[in-house]
Amino acid sequence: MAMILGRITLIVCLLHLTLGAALAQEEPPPPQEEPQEEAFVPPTPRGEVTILTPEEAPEHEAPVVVTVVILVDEEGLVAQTTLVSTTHPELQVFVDAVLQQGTAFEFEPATYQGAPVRVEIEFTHTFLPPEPEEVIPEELVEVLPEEPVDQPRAFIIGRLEEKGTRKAIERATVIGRWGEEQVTTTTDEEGVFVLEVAPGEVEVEIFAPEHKRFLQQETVAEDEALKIGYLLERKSYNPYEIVVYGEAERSEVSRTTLTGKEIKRIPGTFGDPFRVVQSLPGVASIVSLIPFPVVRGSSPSSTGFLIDGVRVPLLFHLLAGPSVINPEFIDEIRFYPGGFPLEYGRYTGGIVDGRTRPLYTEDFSADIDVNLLQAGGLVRIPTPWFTATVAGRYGYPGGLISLVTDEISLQYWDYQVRIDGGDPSSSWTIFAFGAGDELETLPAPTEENPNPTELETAARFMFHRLDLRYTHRGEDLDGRYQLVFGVDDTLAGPGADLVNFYIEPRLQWNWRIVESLGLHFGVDANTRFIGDIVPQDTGAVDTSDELRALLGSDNLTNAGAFVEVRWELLEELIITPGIRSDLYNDGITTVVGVDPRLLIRWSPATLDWGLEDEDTTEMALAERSPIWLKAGVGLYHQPPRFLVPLPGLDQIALEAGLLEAVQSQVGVEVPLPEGLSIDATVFFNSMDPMIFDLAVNPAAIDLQLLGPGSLPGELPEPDDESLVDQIADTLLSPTVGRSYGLELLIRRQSPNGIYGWIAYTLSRSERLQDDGTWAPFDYDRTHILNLVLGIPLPRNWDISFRFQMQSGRPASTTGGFNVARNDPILRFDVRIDKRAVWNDWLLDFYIDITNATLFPEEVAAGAEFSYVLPTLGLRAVF
Amino acid sequence: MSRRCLLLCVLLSASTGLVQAQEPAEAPAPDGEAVPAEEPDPRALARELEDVEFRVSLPTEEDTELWKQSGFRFQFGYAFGWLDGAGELPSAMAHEIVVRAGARLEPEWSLFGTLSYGFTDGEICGVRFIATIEPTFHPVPELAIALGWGLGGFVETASTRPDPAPEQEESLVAPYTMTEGVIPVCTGLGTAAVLRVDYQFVLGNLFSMGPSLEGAVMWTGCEEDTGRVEPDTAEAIVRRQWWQHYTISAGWMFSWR
Repeated sequence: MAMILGRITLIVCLLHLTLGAALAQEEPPPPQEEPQEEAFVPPTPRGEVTILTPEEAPEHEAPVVVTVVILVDEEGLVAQTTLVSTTHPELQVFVDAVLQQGTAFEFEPATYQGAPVRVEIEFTHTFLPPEPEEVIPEELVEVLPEEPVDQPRAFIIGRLEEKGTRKAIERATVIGRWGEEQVTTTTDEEGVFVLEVAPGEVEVEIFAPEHKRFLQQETVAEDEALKIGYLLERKSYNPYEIVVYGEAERSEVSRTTLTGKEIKRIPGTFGDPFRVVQSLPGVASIVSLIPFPVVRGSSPSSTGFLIDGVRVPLLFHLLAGPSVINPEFIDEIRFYPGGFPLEYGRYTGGIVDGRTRPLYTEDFSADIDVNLLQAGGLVRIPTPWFTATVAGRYGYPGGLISLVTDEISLQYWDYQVRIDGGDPSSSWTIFAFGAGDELETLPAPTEENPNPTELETAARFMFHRLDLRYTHRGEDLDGRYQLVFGVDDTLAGPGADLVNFYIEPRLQWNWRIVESLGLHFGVDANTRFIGDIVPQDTGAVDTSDELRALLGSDNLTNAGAFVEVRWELLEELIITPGIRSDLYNDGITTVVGVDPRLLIRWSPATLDWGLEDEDTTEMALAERSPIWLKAGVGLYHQPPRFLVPLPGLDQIALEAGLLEAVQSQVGVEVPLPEGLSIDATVFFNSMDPMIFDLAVNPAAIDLQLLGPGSLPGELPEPDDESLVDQIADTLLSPTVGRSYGLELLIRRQSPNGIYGWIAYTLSRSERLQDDGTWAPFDYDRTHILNLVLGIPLPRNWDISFRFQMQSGRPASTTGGFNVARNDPILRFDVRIDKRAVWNDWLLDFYIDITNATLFPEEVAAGAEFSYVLPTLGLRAVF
Repeated sequence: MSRRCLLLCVLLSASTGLVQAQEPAEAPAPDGEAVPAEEPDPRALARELEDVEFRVSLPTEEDTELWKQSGFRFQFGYAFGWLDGAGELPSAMAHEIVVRAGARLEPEWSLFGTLSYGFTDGEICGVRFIATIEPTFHPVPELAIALGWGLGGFVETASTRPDPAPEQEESLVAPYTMTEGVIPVCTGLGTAAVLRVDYQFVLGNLFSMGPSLEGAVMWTGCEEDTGRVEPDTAEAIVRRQWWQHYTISAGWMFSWR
């Protein structure tokens, strides 16, 4: 009788978690604050998980490996089994056996932060071929001894490790074959196996669910124990394999959370998570390469760029380069185009919050990252008490620029040091980060030096931050305490050097009063001291007085408090009223902003796509996600801020008062099968007043021709002084604006499959003119379409595309202000990633081509440029 | 049960974690030596194996067979070519970087997307690019014949060509299409058709390389900006001209699967 052994391998490879209702109402602190190993406990089998070989199974010579995904519910029961792969698609009977018998398994449920959660686990069963039956001729039967005679034996003692990462491979099936015989065993948790074989040539074949088939030939002598190690190559070295979805805690009206490949492998972003925001609904560009977004028609200075809720004084190197934080620190990007939670204060546009997480690791590991523009490294150092992560980068775009001109030089650097300790109930973090940019140019000729040849510093931005955090979690009350110290140093033009110091405390609590009622409240402050404004001995005009006037007095303090109630009125109806108040003082002026807000989410129905249809893992996600109707309205205030965030040049004098906006929106979220979802939002924002609004277009009256004798279309050239005065007047004059539109996001999320989204925005942003009419905002773009598609491929390839179309921005003509449009922006980006595997390390290679088809871009009327920006990168992971 | 088998059972059981400690305290080994009394610890065994030689798998399939299988392909290479302008249009040499990504659909057919960037020198100074979709036929596994169609264009960064109608720089009041002479500076997009032949020497299961020959025809809608805008429409006042070029290039492609 054929003996068929089943080998079961249970590997948690991807976790689709939907946090339960309890978590949903608790609004817990961000999960990234917790050590990941402690936060999630995978399911464990109750009893034996065995698959019996079906009686009708045909004979087969090679092992049949069937891998399925099992959806284990909160009670440990199997809700769904879905085929992932099989080595023999033609032998459906084996697939059916695993799919059917797998539904009878029972587990101790997985837990996330102590609460049972649904998870998907990958399960592999190997049906081994029957051992060949020894056919004994009848004439020999009588002469055979009754007891088997001891045969000469040998042993192969081996250890399996994963190629590249050198992790032990447990529960792999190891087969030893010689002649017509074979033996089979399984590796233990250390990857160790022992085979008893016959002396001589032995073929060793290994099957592991996540690894490629392994084949090796060994020779062992009698009574010898051959000790050997085998390196198995993983089928996919996907660094984003483990993804935890925590959707149920949502209470916002508009929030898009991007993780994994969605933030690090989107073409045209250089792997920079913050740049991905440019591809989301509601976001228009100033210029497609400049990463400061125009969110729902508001000025870029109205949108906050934050790291874990803390303002970053300089997000992008040299304003258009990579972000100042190593992407490896960023776990997810939360983007709120409007209606953001009360914990985010002092902004009237949107919020882009990069959430970091501890980079826990069991072993010392290091990455080295080199591309055409920069080189950097990241080291993770585990200790019994804490994990330290240190990263640094140096950028040398000046090297490339020097190929074209020697009159300009650019360089930048940044660093991050993060130390995490504690446990899930009480954790602490020390996070220090900083960055510096320097632009050198050839100075203007002077009488003393009519032909300057040495470059001089024209602009320098530098900052350092030290972020100390402590988080505790209790049964009913969670707290997060944060204290940030900072120093900024900016050479603001050649005339003055500005040095500022900051202290930013933040205290926040979540209090679960009863099952259906929670309170989120906190206080925060931001104090700025101007250390010095030093006139520079560069021969340029001293601008220190103008700078001091722009910033107000030496000391500036913002302090705010908020309270937000999350009330589950019904199971399907969540009402979140709240209020925030901020006091602003710049030493001369004191103003107060009071921001009441209300968010409502109502689930009228649940679409049960999941268990009745053809089962796929993504359907289970959809099955757990009801349709949500959502609405929100709120008042928002912010101090006047500089056009784009620069170290020390963020908030300016309060003399003109606060900016104010009323944001309102309604929308719907619809889950679909196959991991798809639709999110549609209609919004209306009223902005009154707006200060430092990004306005650059000339008025119609400025478009009068020079007069007789001038060329057609030739306009008078404003002298520099009047132009500067005109721009300054425009920026400092309060204006009134409004914006309204429709945002649509059709998205597919999949940690291992095809991912991407279609984002479309139909909107209008307008400014009130002196004559009482409304005219389009200078950066209003009626249609914005983004198509993003990422395709993971075998052998560790990934290819992704992004196509972007934005309506041209308004242009003034003699017929009126902003009555015409520039040409639309078209852009096609492509990125190819490859992870090559060596025995002891991994090498990531990527090529990212921005605007691969050289579509021209008209940045202003008549000013068009074409470019292609290829980036080659290498990243070694040890 | 022989003692040797007993030892094996203990080792197997320990390594698979299926049995609890239950075996005799001590037993002689097959060769008569004493065996440890206690059950072997898999962790100790693993530690003992830390310094052993590690091997990778033997090939499970022939490299050439693997390259015939369907799946993703990536090519990166360099080519040197010549651009010949139709009629009086300028010509140039080009150093090209070629990036191709696609899939082997079946042994005889592939589908590729190709991006080719040529840095031109001569009468045209700048960048020529072609982006094409290329169905590819493999009459033999290593040979590829591709026919492609897509976008093409020029970004001219400098030019010494004389302006055939310098007065137009100042007299034009609206966009104008030139029919005579050659536009002094050309930046624009158009369409391109490509015929490509390459041969790949298989050097491993993941890597191959070989020569490549490419011929292309480009039609480019050139534009030259006058720096002025039509004040009633905000439309840029430009001069336009259609260019037609024939290009041929030879290079070397590196391929990964």
